[in-house]
Amino acid sequence: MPRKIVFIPLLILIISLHCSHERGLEPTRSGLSGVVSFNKTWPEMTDQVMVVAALKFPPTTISDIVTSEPLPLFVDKADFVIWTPPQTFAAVGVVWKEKNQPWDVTNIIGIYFPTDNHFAPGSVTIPDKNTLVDGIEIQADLSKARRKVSSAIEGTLQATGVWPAEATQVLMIASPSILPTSLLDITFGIPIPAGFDSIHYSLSLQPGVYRLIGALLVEKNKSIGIESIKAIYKKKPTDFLPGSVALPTDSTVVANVNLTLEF
Amino acid sequence: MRIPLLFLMLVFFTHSGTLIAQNGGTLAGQVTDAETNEPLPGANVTINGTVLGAATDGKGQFLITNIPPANYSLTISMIGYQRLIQENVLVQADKTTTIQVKLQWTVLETPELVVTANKRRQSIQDTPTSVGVLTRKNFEARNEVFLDKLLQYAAGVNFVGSQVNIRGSSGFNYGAGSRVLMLVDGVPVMPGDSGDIKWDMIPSTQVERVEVIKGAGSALYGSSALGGVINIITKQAANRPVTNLRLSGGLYDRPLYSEWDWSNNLRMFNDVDVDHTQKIGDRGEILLAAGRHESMGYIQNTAYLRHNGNVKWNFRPNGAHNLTLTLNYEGGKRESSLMWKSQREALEVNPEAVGDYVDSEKYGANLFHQWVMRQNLSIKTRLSYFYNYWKNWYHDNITASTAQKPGYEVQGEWQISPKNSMIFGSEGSWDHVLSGLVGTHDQYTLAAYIQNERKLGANAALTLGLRYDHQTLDHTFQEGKWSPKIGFVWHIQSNIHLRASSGRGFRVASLSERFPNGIYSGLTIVPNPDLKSETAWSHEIGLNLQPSNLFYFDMAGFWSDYWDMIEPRPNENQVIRFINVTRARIAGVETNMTVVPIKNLSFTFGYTIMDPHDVDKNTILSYRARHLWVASATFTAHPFEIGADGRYVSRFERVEVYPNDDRVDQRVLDLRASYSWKNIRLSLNANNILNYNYTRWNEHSCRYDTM
Repeated sequence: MPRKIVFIPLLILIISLHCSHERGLEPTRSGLSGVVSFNKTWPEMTDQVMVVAALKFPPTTISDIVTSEPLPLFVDKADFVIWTPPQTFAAVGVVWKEKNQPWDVTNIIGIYFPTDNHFAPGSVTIPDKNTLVDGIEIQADLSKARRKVSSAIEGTLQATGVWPAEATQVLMIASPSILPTSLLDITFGIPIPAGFDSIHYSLSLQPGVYRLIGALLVEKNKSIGIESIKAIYKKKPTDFLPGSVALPTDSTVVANVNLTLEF
Repeated sequence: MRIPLLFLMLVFFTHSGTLIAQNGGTLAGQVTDAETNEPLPGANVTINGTVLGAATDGKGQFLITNIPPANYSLTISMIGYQRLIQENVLVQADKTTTIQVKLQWTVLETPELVVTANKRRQSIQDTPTSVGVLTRKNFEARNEVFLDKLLQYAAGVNFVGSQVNIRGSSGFNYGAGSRVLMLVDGVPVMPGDSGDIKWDMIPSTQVERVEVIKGAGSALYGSSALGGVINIITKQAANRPVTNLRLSGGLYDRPLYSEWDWSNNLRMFNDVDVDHTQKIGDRGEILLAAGRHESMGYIQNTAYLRHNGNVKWNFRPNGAHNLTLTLNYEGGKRESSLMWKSQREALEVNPEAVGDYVDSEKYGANLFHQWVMRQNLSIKTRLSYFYNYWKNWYHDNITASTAQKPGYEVQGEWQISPKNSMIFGSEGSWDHVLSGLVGTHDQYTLAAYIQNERKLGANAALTLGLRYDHQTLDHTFQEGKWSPKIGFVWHIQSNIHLRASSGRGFRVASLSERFPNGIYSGLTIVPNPDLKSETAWSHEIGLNLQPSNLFYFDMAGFWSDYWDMIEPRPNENQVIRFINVTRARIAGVETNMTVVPIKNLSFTFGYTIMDPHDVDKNTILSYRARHLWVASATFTAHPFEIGADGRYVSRFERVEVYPNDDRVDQRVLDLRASYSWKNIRLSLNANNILNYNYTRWNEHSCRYDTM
């Protein structure tokens, strides 16, 4: 009897191993490709530039993105290709890396905008595993590259009311314009997990004057938009316009930039 | 209070020199094959109810001296032969009793004696925990040099990167720390800086067998034995001159897909191993071994050139004392490939990482002394020193590290009565680390353990064990841990055995988990000095039966609860930090079976099904498989032997980095054939003949075809 029983698992193993036509992993044959046009002057401290496709925008972890190979530096235009399995990307952008610094996926210098609405990144869908979606054209603004600096704003972020059930993260944002015309005008901070009552934050910013400082709520399965901004910094609660903050040097830190999220 | 008492016991026994048996008798003999009358080297001869025993030499002969006069029962065993119990062997004072033993060959190869489960030699059916054994014959058949390639064919064992995982205990740890303790001849060889297993420490040609303890082994082995123990038992020196030479060469097949065909050259490898053993004087033997192992690598930037040298010297000044000195060296250069370039170019690394490599050297020196004080009491003493050096030459990081680990162990084995035996001892080590990775640190470990095994009637035995470990880190952090254990074995019939065990294990965070700092091959790792030790309770119940010499079956149900499990966690920018992440529960069933359906044909199977559950997150633990299969078939028609080995590891359902990447299960089938002529053995191996591509963790293709 045992001699017969033994052939059963052997048979299962042979079937599962040998009779399978699968060969496991395969090279990726689908993806997206296009051209990046670089505008303005290349920063001297440029180490690498890559095109990234993000499953959600803004990407908050490296797991949210896939990347191209590093692009050629100090050129006006560069072709790119990202080989990736079929899926839909919420945005495609260009990320800049400074010498001797780690990658920061929020250091974005260009975003693929298929329309004139520069607050709506174009999503790209790769339909099947043999399609290379072509024609993605991205304008990269090299002046948006953020060097490693010590200048920052910091303060307390308070939450009042009941957090929305789908809230996942809060992103601090800052822009030199009261009315930014593009997502590229906005600097995003490191994601803060939702659900806090009060939290201390620090947002690293390039030297300059920031006329719009706010907090943006990221919700599950929902793209961000103007309506995602849930708090705006004002010097006095009664002020009509947002408060501005000046960071004259690389090491200026302005404290007490406090905001309240109201739900 | 219990620790001083234990040490007092040790002091008492280690100074009881007057207890040596006087006017003892001698037992001598020869063990041969019953059919061919060929002498059998390496057979174990044990005097039942005592701590006395011996292994046969190259001529199949053995000698046991200083035996108190009495009538004894002997057990003679050897893998591949039926165990023999010889009753009524009379030993008389000042006389030599000579016996001739003939063992019957069997196709069914089941392990007989193991030494790791209870720190003493005993039948595998007498151990309350699951033990897997790989023998030299397994290594020779598969023709692999490094042990990790061989261990993945043991039931319940799989690899995540270079991290060994026994029954789901370990995930992917970036080479830092290990929940499985590796021993070489019972000596821990995991360096203090990385705390991981160095698989290239001992080439398989120098290994007699490997014992794999599945489940928490902390009650005898302390920290790191939380998920199991792997003990590599090296070859014995023989008292007649023997020289072995092994030459091996092969090539990797071209990649299956043109997109992955990155090299214009055939990728090849070669190995040379030589050893020589001979008698030295009347009371000693020596074994000298050296090896050179080179590979161009199947994946870009994975070439290596390694060397090893090993010395083993035995000296017996008299029948009561046995001294063994081992010296081991392993070193060389190994290219490093942590992540693939992309799935499009899965066998390549990013251009900046081409040329990254690691220089490393390891030295081990051990002095063992066994003193048989009486027929029922022996003391083993071990002094050991392990040195590990490495230097990373990475494009983004050049770091060097040295770790030294002097240590000792004193262990007593006391057969209090025929039904009552005790193991007790003390163990200590000092890890001195100077490292660019983790800084400068000193970690001290001092431990004491005791284990009592009492027979309950004729067919059952109960084991109770307790170990206390005290760890001091940099004279600032101190921690003590108790590890209790209970085990039960019931021999329902002579060929049906039931076992059960329960034990607590723990693991102190390694320095590379607590203090890492830097960028390595693109990954940024930051320290967490506040890491707590992780602990676990492991339970097992098992059934072992061997109704005939043609069928062997073993089944075990296991259940482990982990607290404060240490796992690496990347943040949003993939900066990695080790944290006490979760409470986990891993439960499963494992079966092992060997069957001989027709003469000269044997099949072995191992299947493990598990539920590795992250209790906090109510999901599966990352980097764990639910199903593991291993299977082998061997047909022997002397001088030919052919065989096949297969293994299956189900897809990791959860990973921490790049969760959207493709992941597949692992399906590997290897073929082998050999021809033996006089003292020459010719073998041919083809690995992964299904051309199946997989990763052992995501972002690193691992398929390899070799011949």
